[in-house]
Amino acid sequence: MESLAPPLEVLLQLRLNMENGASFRESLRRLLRERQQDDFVVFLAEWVVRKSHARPTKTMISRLGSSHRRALVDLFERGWDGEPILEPLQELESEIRDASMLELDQFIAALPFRAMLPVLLLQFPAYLLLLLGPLLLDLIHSFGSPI
Amino acid sequence: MYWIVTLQLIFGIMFARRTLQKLLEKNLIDQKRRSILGTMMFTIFFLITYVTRHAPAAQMCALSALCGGISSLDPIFQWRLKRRINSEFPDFIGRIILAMKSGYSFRAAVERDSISASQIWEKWLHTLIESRVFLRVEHVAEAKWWRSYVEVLRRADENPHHALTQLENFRRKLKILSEFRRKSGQALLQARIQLLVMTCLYLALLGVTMTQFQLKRYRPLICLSSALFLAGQATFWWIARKTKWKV
Repeated sequence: MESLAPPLEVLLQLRLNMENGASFRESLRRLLRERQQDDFVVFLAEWVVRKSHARPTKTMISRLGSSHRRALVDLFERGWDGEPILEPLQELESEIRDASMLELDQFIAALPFRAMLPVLLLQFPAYLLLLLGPLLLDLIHSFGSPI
Repeated sequence: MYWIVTLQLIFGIMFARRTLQKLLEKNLIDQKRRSILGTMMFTIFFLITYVTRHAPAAQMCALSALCGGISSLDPIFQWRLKRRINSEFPDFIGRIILAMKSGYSFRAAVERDSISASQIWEKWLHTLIESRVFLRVEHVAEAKWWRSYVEVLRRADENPHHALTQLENFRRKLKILSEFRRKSGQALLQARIQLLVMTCLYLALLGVTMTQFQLKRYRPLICLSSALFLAGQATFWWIARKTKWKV
């Protein structure tokens, strides 16, 4: 989790472009050109194509797993139709930011427990093999050899 | 064999000199560091030649490895510079905003900041701003991480009336980004320390086992143990670096 959550990154970039004077559509197109491809950007690119051809987008939005992403795209729908969305975008930013921070905190808190799994299942046996393996093999050989 | 080693030595020193010259031209090192690195490389070249003088094959291998190491200096210095600039850029923008709020234009604020530039990264940053932002020199192979900075600075230069707002917006974005990076950096640091401790312990134990018992007899056991250990390390690193966001 070295980078920002995709919706937060999209929102920040979009807000930056809009505050610098670009329209919503222009900001979104610029963002799609400049940003590296992740699943959310691919989704947005498809959404823009559908909107440009006046095709329905409700089903594809409902398929989005995260409620924050759905809220953001719902807002984009309003922006595409010409409504001013800069202010709601600013409010949504703090919501998505808090949710991302919470997810990051949960990830950090759960990391020590998750990290125990490879240690217990793979590395601990590796240490045991090195420590006790030769001794056990010698013991087995000594039982098998004639007195 | 000896003439090959002599040729390798001569070309190696020439290669080292050329690499350092290129690093200097790219503003990745300064004159002082170039002298230090040059002296170090020269000494290492002659030490290797002297120590391995009775084993030409080992000498060739060592000189080739040294040349390989020298060729990796450029990416290493580039990486260091990128890290430094990424961490210092918000402060740089902060200084520009401060100067603009006290009455300077964007260009004047950048130029004023360049006067106090003393470190290599500062000089590199100002040279690049001068060429890419002010003189509009296009660079086809512009680094991706640097492109977003150039874009913002260019827009600020093009629209002097909105420059301050644009820079403030960009600074806000950078602050959020650095806040997240700092947090996720904690998790990664913890993972790195754990990986290092586990590896050191394992290598020490491996050393003891190999000296106490016959390596040939227990080779399958050691191979199995190493494979398990490496699989554990890889799994651990994968868990720590997981990048799938639910939000």
